[in-house]
Amino acid sequence: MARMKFLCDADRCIECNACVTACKNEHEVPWGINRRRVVTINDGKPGERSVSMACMHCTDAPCAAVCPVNCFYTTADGVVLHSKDLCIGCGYCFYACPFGAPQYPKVGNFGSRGKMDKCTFCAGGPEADGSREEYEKYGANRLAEGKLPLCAEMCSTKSLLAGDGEIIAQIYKERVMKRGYGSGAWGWKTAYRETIES
Amino acid sequence: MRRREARRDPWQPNNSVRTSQSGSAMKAFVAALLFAAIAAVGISILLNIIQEPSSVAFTTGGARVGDPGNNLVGPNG
Amino acid sequence: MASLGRFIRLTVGACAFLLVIAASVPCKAQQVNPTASSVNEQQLLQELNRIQGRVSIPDQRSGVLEQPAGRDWREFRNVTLRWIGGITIIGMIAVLVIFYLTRGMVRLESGRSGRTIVRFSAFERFVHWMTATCFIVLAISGLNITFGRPLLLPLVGFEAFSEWSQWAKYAHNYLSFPFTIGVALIFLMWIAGNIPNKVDVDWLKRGGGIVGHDHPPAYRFNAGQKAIYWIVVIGGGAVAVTGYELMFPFYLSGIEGMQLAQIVHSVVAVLFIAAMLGHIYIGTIGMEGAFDAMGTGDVDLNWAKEHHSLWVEEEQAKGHAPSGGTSRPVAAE
Repeated sequence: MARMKFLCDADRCIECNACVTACKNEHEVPWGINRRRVVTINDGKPGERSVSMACMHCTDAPCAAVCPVNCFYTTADGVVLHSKDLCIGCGYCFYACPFGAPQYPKVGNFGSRGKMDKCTFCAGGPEADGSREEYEKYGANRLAEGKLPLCAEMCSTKSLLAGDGEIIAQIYKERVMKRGYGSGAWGWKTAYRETIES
Repeated sequence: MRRREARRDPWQPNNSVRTSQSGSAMKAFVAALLFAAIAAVGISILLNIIQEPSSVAFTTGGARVGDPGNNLVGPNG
Repeated sequence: MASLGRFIRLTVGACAFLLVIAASVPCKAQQVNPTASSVNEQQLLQELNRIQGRVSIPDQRSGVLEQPAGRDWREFRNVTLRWIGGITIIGMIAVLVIFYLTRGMVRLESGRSGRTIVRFSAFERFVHWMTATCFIVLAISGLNITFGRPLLLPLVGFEAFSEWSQWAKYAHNYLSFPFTIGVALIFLMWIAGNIPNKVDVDWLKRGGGIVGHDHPPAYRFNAGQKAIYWIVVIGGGAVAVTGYELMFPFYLSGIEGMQLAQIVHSVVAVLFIAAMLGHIYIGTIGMEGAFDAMGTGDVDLNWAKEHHSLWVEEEQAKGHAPSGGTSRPVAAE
């Protein structure tokens, strides 16, 4: 079985934010919820890099470990999903997440910030695949249709890669070998406890 | 039952006033519960009023957001 | 001439800059390597333990790209806290059970006199019970967040546990306000009687009457009660401040501050709960006549003389209490 991962090749990312737009559109994500975002480090300075970041679907995910009601589960593809029926909106996943992935419908008071929302790797939720309920709670389920996450599919520079971890790692390795440089797979050490040797 | 006779002469043996005493003990306790419940409900209403949806909080002045819709955030979002 | 000088200065500066960067980024020698000067994930993480950048969306906090500190917090929450909480709370219950079985209830040695003295006014009891009931709800709902998943969830199932936890969370958040008011009132109301003094040293040296059958003199509050008072005021203050920091994310601090706040909040809370178990024990089955103080507000004169001899003398001097009557307890000289 594939182990789905994201990989952002920061040497290719041009901060066009198409991944963010694709995500917003595909799942009809409302204003203020940022399932994916592009962060630019050292903006305007030599050596600046942009990284597109969403939930990394960590191995042994911290959010799932700290959730007081155990509402997270990992699919057979290694995608970390959660049930909004079980989520109590306590914000613990938000403390634990290294990537700032959890989003909430309201700001301020954690007592009623609403059910957590995050990137689903375009894999929907616990509801029946492709059902209306699933779309309303978790967005589109492209994985069930045999497609990969739209953010990566639409990436114009193919900086953002999504798919089987071994395959995207191989693609990245080949790129690094060919062009002779690479600033690394951002977040991989934290999320998957491995880096891609180049 | 009138308010507890707090100023009741403490010199008197209290065997006869046991019942009214336990009544006053309950009064302070029930008042405590009531106040706690009212304070909690009051503050919850207040906090829910001042709390902003993300669609409002994370919007710049130039954006004209109509109804952000219920998708992903549910009807209360 | 001036322009040449500037050119040289610039060149030297640029060379120095490149040298610094080359030295700080150990990298394979490449002929053309744009990443030689690029930001490096490991280096950034080592410097700050987090990576922050600029985002073009209004939610500026999402500019934090990575903060692996959550892993340490996770370890604390799932392992350390459960050990600390389990040991202190179960340990406290064990100590109390053993103490009750060996020592039993601390009896009124001179029996009930049948005469009473006002110990706590209706307002004092109101504040006490408001804080106490809020505390119990806060304690149970708080323990649910830490221990509910391993202990309660397997028993009741996911849906029921989520429903209960949701309500427990609301109760925890909103009852914190009357609780905080209660702690503030307790602080103001009883501060006068709770400043430690020399009598407390003597009281502690003589074991407070808990260990033996001694009855060391005490004013309105003995050293043990003063300890409870300061635990409530300091512990309650600490859980209130850290709790509100968690309840209003980003008003006081970022995520790292909230992780720290959660650590302080939970550790203080479990210690607080253990201390309050002791308090509840002494106030109910641990000591004869003690519950009346917070129950009806009036305590038996003999109880007051045994446990708060100096306070009774004060009250008698003020004419608030009956004088004479039963013989004073033997131990008080």
